[in-house]
This record gives sequence, structure tokens and C-alpha cells, in this order.
Amino acid sequence: MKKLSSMVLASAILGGTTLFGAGIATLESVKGTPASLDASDAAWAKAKEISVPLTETPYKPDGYKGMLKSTAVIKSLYDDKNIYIKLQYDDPTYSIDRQPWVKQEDGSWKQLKVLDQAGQDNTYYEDKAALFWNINTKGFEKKGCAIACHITKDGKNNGFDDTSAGRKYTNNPGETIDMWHWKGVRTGLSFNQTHDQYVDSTNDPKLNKEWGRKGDAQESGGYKNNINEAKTGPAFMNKDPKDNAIGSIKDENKVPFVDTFKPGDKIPGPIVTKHTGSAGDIETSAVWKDGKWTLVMKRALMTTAPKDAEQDVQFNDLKKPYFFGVAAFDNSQINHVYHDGAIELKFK
Amino acid sequence: MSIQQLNTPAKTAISLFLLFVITATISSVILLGLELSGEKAGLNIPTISQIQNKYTMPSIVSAMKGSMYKEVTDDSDIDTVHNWIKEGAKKEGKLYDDAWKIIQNDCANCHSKTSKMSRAIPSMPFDTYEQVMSHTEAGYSWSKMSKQAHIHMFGISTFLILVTLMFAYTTYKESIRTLIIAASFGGAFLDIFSWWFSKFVPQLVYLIFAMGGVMVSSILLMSVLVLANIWKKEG
Repeated sequence: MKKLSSMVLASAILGGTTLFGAGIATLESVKGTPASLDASDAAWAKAKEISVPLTETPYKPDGYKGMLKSTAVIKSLYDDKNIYIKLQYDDPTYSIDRQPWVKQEDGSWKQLKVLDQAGQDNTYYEDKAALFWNINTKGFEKKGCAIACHITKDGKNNGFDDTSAGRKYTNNPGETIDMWHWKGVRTGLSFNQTHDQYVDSTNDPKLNKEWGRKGDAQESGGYKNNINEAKTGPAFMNKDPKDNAIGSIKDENKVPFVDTFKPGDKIPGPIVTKHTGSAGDIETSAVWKDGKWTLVMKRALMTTAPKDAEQDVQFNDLKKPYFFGVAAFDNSQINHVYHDGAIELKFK
Repeated sequence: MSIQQLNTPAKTAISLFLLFVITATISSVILLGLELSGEKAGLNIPTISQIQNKYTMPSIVSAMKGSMYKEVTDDSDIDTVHNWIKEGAKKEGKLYDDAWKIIQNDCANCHSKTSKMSRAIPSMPFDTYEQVMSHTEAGYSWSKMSKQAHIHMFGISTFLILVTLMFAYTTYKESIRTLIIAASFGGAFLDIFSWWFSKFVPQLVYLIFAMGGVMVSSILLMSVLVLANIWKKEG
């Protein structure tokens, strides 16, 4: 019996340390060049994966039906020119109906949109994912994405009136974070691209309506709402209706809207243009299958546009660690699942 | 009479009860370690300085050094908040501005009446100066102490009387039994006593560490010794 009780004690203590011993996750980027951005490329076999539970959310949208947790599985490769990130995460629903127009029984058109208490759409939106790379923000290595998260309280954010659930900005002038913002409909499925953005310390909406969240410098690119001047219906439609499958209308494919549709038919909500310039630095393949998104991102280790030092993380010293965070948005404008702390990336 | 004379069902009940006590005791140490260290996992034996933070410092500073440490952007931020409190926690001046910014950036996302974050603590808001002020008193307040003391003393004494009575009827030397029983009750009393008075006599944190250790060790020791003794055949 003495032996038994000792074993119980020992196993309880050992169980505790084994089960709960993890610290910050470390992702090793290993040498390799995928022949393409196909996630099944043989080069990925040598990359070690890490699994990161995404269990936190910044707010609870009223009536939200999306996921409240997920798991991100991440791998990385690099070669002399580029870094590659393979991100796979659970998302049970494939969401590409981003505020589409739908023809009503009476022949009118209605743009589907349901806004929550913070004025954000979590019903007719798109799936998104984001990687947040520290550039020079104090505290990021410890707190991860949360360092730039500022929740709106009692309708105020930094003393300004605000209806959103929260805003992104860094705490001190000069601090920036690189944001790789994959937008399923607007950049992902349409152009195999992630919108390269960044966050700075702008904490006054009069200076920037998106506060600290900004797009990298670009020559062209972005999206606009597909709405006619009278705001009664869509202004354009896809030349080939098959292109509606990606939930958007590429600018080069748009033709003036002619209503030959029947009730229930849909026309995509956003008209999208490919990002060129620094905002288009990140090529990204994306496939949704069996309740998982799999993205493969490719970016130059070092970028060279004039403002890239403050807008892009520069992988210019392969001996030092780089810290980042991951978030996934399930059919959601700003609500997302994320993790505590930062993930460390090391080049092997 | 000894516990060895009990019938098998009684011995089984006592043995299972003691396994529960052992597990609960270890769990309480794990919980205390997590709360004091700010770690999220593992067995973290509390250090003197962690205990000192909890029982002698303003609760907001203690939390920033302990369970909330991961939310603190930089170690120097803890000193800034602590200095502001030490200087009277006034609602003006640079110290206040600096401390307020830190509290809002590092704490108030979750500590807000209106926060909807997944780990929101709306019951402990830091939205206003007055709300923050209620967490600037050093150590345990009279109210917190009386609440903590009666809950712990009623709870601990209830299972301690059971464990010590079982141990009292083992066949170990009477002097050893008496010593360990006295140590368990004495340790518990002095531990709880020191929680409160360490804010007046900081050296008492050593007593918290020592007496907490004595209490936990004696409970585990008695439980294991009873288990080892109860199933022995009467000599």
C-alpha cells in the first residue's frame, strides 16, 4: 500500500509537469523550395509542424454562429530568396458569400448584410486569416497580437467615440507590426494573394479611420462595393457567371449589370482588384476541404519598397528569432480566434 | 484499539478517502503555484518572493508580478504602477498618467464592465480611477482576511480532524503521532495567521512558506503513513 500511494503521488506530480509543461511554441523554418504553392508539394515533407490552439476571441458578436475555437497547424520553409508558410486550420464552413446581392420575389435586389452590435457583419462575410509579425513593438514577444489590441469600452476608445468592438494600434510612436491579412474572397480565391498590411501607433480616428491598421504602399489594388448609383442594386456582374463561384467580381471581368435574373439569383458584392506594389508582396494559395483551410504563403525574405523597413518584417538575419501570431476569422469581419503570446520562428 | 482492527469495508473507505485527500492536497499546491507564479501549467512550488508579492503588496501589483504577469508588456511597467501607489496613488501628475496608460493597455481589455473578450472579468472592472483604487491596498484587507480565514479554517479543520484521528489510531509511536498531529494543526493556524499579519511584519512571509510547507507535508505524510499502516496485519 505504501508503494501504491507513492506511485499515486509520483504520477500526479509527473502528470502535472508533463501535461502542462509547454512554453511559447517554436516554429523551425527549414531549407527547401516548393516547386509550386500546392500544399501537397513534396518539399513540405521535411518541415516540422507545430500545432497552435486558437482559443481566444476579442468579443462576442450577437447571434454569432461561427467557430469559437480552432487549431492552426503551421510549417515553414525558406530558400535564398523567399520564406514559405503553410497554415492549415479548422473552419467547418466555407464562407464566400460576402454581402452578395440577391434578387427578391418582387423583382427588386437586396444586398445581404447583417450587422452585429459593433456594426460588423458575421453572417454575409468571408473567411479570413492573419499572421502578425513583430517589427519593433515592445512587448510583442511576450503578449503576441494582444499587444496591439485595444477594446472599446462604453463607446470610447482612447477617449474617442467608437462603435467598433476594438481597434488595432501599437502603444508607442514608431512601433509597427507587419500584418499578413488573407481575405478569402477579396484577395485569396480571386488573386492567390494575401493583403500585406501593417499596424502602427495611430490611435486617433481623425488621422485614419482604420486607426493603426493600414495597407502597405501600393500602385493599385483593393475592392469596392458593387452598388449602382441609385443604391438599389448591383452596378456590375461577372462576364462569365461561372466566376461567381469565388464570391467576387474581378475588375477585369466585370460587365454592366443587366437584369435577366430570376428571384433567388445572386450577384457578388465586392469588385476586386489585385494588389500591386508592397501591398501585394505575399503570394498565397488557398484550398478549403473537409472543414479545413490550407494556405501556402510565399514572401521575399527581404522586401525593398521605400517604406518596407517600417511596413514589412525583414528576414535579414537568419540567426535571430522572429515572433508572430496567428488568427482565423470564420465568416467574420473582425471577430477572430487567436492564441495567447507569440510564436517564435527560427531558421534552421 | 488501532485502525488495523477495522473491517475491510471500513479500511477500503478510509484508504479511498485518503487518496482523495492526497490528490486534493497536491492539487491545491499546483493551484497555488499557478496563481503565484503566473504560469499556466505545471507544478510550480511558490517562492518566497512570490509569497511576498501576494501578501504584502497591493493586489494589483501582486497580480502583475504573479498570475497576470503574462499580460504585462514590460517588467518596468510593474515598478511604474507600484511607484504610483507608493506615492499615494493620486489622480494627477506624470506617475498617474504613466500608470493609468499601463493599466488600460495591459489590464482593462479584460477588466472592464463591458468587455466581451473570451476571458473578460467584468466583475473586477478597471474602467475608472475609483475601481482601480480598490486594488491598491497592500496585503489582505480586514474583509478579505475574515472571508479567507473562516473559509480555510472551517474547511481545513474539517478534513484535518478526520485525517488526524485516523492517524492517531495507527500503531506508530505515540510521540511521533502527537508531533505530526500538532504540526498539521499548528502549521495550518500559523500559515493563515501569517497571511494577514505579513502586511504589518513582512518577515512573516517566511512563516507562510514554512508553515504552509509543514501543513502540506504533514497532511501528505499522515495520509501515506495511515495507508501503509491500515492494511498491515495486527502485530
